[in-house]
Amino acid sequence: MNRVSGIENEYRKLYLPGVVIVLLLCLVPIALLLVMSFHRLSLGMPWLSAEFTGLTNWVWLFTNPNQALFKALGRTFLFSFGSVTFEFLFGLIIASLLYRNIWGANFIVTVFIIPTVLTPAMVGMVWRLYFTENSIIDYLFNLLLHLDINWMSLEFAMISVISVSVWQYTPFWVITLYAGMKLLPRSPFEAAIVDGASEWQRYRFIIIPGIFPIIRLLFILRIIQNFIGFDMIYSLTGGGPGTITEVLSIYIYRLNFFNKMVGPGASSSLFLLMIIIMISYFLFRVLPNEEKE
Amino acid sequence: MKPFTVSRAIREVPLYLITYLFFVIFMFPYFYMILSSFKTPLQLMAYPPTWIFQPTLENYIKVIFDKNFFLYAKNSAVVAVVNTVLAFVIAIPAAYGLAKTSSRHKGQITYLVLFCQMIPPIAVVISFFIIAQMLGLIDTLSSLIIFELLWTIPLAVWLLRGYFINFPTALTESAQVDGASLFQAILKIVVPMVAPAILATSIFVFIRAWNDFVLAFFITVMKARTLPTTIDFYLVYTQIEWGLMFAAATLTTLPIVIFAILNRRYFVRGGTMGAIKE
Repeated sequence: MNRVSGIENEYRKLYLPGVVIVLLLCLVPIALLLVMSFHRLSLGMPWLSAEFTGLTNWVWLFTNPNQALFKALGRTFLFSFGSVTFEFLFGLIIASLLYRNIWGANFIVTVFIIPTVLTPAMVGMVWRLYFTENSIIDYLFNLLLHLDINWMSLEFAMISVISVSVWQYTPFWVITLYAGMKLLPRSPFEAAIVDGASEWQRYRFIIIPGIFPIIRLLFILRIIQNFIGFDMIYSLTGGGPGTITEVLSIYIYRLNFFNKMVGPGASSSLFLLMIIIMISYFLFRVLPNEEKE
Repeated sequence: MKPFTVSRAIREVPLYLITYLFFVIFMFPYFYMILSSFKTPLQLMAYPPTWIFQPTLENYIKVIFDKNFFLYAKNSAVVAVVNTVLAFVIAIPAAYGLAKTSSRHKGQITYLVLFCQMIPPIAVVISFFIIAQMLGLIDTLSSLIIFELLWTIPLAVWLLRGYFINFPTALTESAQVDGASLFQAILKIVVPMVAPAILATSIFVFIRAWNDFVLAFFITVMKARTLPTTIDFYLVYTQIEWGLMFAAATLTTLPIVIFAILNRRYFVRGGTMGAIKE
């Protein structure tokens, strides 16, 4: 008994410093946000000029006539789920193709690491140049599909933003799903072949369930990453044209650093934080893990 | 596998072609970026685009010498390396403790740490900005290193924990019987044995720290800027210096691309970690 609690004590000594550091780094800024959300203040030395204003910031955030917050929330959902849906579809298709022992599969998977690790701020900037009129994307769409699209127009800007996200993270799905397929045990396949299962049946009833835990994890991970994402959209469109690609993270940026409305900025930051907590809680609940520990 | 037959070959060929087509589509933007970085302004504006041209190093020379590239590269390297090392010094014992403890609150603590990983940088950067102002740390590398730990420690803990859960406690216990403390046992026995796991995790942590944009953009002025934040150096009014931008993007991403490709085995494993029980 004593020995067990002694060991337990040792484990606590190991994890406590790390947990305390992380919690400090996390709770102090959040507490500050909470304080700021009840004050009117300015960006420089805000503690000197802060003035308590009660719920004013919160009320303004939810009731301002533009409804900018809810519009931004809607765009965040559109961006996040739109991007993840196509990443998943393309990722699954490409990984499944590679799994058929396609010549060069290992090379392809290796090179596919590149888009995934690229700096998102740089990615946005480079694609901004690609989407410019008469630039490479215009040229290729004209040449191959006879389509003339204004990528930064009101109609297409969100599609452009989602496309860049799909471009960058589909390879990540491919790499991970392909690795997951490779790790599946061989014996169910052999049994299925003996039983005369068709290729499609083997795919549907062995491979897909086998990689389901990975699909689930990637879904949750990528949806949350997209809710958090700022860098790529900021450098690609900056939320524009107008506010058509202004997701929540961009809206927070605009309030804080562009409109210098630090109070409402803090409220909207906390709002995004709450949305992310709810989304992740919801996702972990709705997408059940079949092999629960 | 199956024997080669003509009908099978006919069926397979389109699948090969589709796969290669996907590959070309997804890799083209990256290689076009590198290609464009060797073009002159005139060649960049050409329509239709030129594919064969006399390459120029002009863009790279300008980025490196006119835009002070080495200073920002050094900043990026210092932030990413120091942050990764610090994150591991803190995360290795924390992950081990959390993996092995039988505390009632184990689950809650782990999820709490995980939750920190989900905090949007743009939401808390204003707080970090104020904290840095108070501490006089605006425009310093140390503020970037410290604040970035909020994301890199949880990431490292989360990835490492998966390895430590399956690690036999018998090994550390026997070391403890020989008089070593648990901390020493981890340092001398666990760390060398899970070195591949640490390498796998370090790729993700390092890339995360290297690619950080929000902190480095909003709590620095000029001195402590890192490479990702140099994007606005190439905006002149509403114009963008295309060639320089392509060269800067190529240079900024090159170290992490090389790092990730060299450690591709660990990169792939890291992605599936936590999802598969081996």
